[in-house]
Amino acid sequence: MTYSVPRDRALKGLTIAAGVLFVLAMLMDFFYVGPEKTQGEAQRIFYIHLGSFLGAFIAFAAAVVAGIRYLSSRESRWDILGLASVEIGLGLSGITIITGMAWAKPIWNTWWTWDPRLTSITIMWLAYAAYLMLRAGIDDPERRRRFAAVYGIVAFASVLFTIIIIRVRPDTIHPVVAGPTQADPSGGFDVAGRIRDTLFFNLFTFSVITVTLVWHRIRLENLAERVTRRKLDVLSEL
Amino acid sequence: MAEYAEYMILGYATMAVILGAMVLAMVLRYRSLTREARLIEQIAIEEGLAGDREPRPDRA
Repeated sequence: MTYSVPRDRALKGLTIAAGVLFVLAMLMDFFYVGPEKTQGEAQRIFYIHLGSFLGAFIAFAAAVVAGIRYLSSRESRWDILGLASVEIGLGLSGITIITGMAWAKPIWNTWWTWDPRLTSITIMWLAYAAYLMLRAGIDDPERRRRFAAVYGIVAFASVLFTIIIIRVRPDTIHPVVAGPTQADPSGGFDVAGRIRDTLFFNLFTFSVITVTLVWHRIRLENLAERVTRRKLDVLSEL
Repeated sequence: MAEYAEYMILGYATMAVILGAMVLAMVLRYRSLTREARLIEQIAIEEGLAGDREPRPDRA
């Protein structure tokens, strides 16, 4: 029996592209763009902080699509997409939180404060961590998939809440880069030049990395399912 | 050292560790699964059981 998944050319190409893009993004972060006037070198964290959050957003949005598709079709491949997306999204949002702390210490003079944005992203992260705990706590596969699908859809409210909170709460100290806020209802995009170029490149890179990681995670789960099926087959014949 | 460089290093190092851990976890799980698959096939052969009943991806 061949369990090893054949090397899919698209995934291999995407993996190489993600690696190359990541190296280029790091080169841009450190060498193409200079330090910001007031925040110094700490401002460079902004590129990976925002990039990883976009990646997490894409992953969690994919979990919503997967949940809706699973509930309408009951095909397990959508459940696998949901699981893969949440796992990768959790890792990426973890990067967002920790890089935010590393930036906050020199700029806000504290590692952590219960600002509305920081509180909401903590709730978001915990909500998705609970998704994995929920899955682990249900033995019946069909029931587990159904609950996970519904939970994956509902949990996305915490992502939207995290995005919206800094635009509606006037007491937040978290910076807003794009879009309207209470202080500036007209909105706008507050970066330009090399900072903008580097930011967009990092956003694109993290999007590609997210898709690549989710795809690899899906293939791994497919392999695990095939191994389990074969094991049951062999055991039943012994 | 440039202003706040240590915090920048901390941020990037943390990102590298988390991304690396995610990739490493997948690599280790893949190796574990392929090892398990080989063991199952070995048992199946030793016990004279039917061979691969799964459609091989390259034959599908």
